[in-house]
Amino acid sequence: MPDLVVYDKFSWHFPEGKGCPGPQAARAHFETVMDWLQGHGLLTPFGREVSEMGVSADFALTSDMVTERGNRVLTAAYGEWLNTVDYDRKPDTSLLDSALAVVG
Amino acid sequence: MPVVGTALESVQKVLKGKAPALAESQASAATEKAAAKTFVPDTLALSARARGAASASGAQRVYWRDAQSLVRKTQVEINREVGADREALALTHLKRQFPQSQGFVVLPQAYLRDSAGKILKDAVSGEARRVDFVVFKHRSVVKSLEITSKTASKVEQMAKEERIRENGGNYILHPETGALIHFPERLHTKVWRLD
Repeated sequence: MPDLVVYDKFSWHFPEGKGCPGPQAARAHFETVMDWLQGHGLLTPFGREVSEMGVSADFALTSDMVTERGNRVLTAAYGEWLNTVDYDRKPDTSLLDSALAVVG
Repeated sequence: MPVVGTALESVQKVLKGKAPALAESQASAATEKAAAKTFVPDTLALSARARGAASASGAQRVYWRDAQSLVRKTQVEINREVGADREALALTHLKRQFPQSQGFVVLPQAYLRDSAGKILKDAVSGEARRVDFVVFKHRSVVKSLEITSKTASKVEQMAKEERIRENGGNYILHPETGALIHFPERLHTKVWRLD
């Protein structure tokens, strides 16, 4: 069975992380990336099911939620994208767009 | 913005196989536990901040550098990295304690489901419950774990889990076969607190 990749989790930011002002701030970048993945057709049926439930305290972005292409994008760019994200403003997805263009 | 340029280079390196993928970095982090990561302020960013320089959006962004790799990071990425390292450690430990050769399967991020396989939501919060690690053998769960930091409260999540389980959320789904794995009523999720 292939190992599941956990790209990110809500709890790693709130309440476990430092500098995160609250659950809404933790939720913001997940909602952005889920919208972006959905908008580009990169979610699996399971990913769409999770997305429809919304981002809650148990939310995790995992490899089984995204297509093969989506996994290539996230593997290549997710950590780098987080390096462009702050808790106090709406995330910009241009880096993800660029990564998707590279992945093809 | 310079960081985007660096990021794109990184993307290209990963795609060319010249840099480790995330899963690999998680695994290696687990085996190199001893070295707890430390982050130091990015002095260039701080000096820019002191001069009152603003980013293009008008807000300040504070960067940190991984003391070992000197890679520039935001607090958001640092929090992700620390959390991933913590869970990678737990996964390594569980795989050692419950070896695949003896028929155990360690499954990360398993949703609690009902007997029909549907993800069950808590009637109070309206949220589902995704358990950090579930270990099962044959068709039965033998261990369930929530991994967290030394101080984070898990009271609400654990209460939510109990409510879901009382309402029949006593199954998880085998990711390959689609079979339902039973979560015995007497078994409860334990919280592991790691640095």
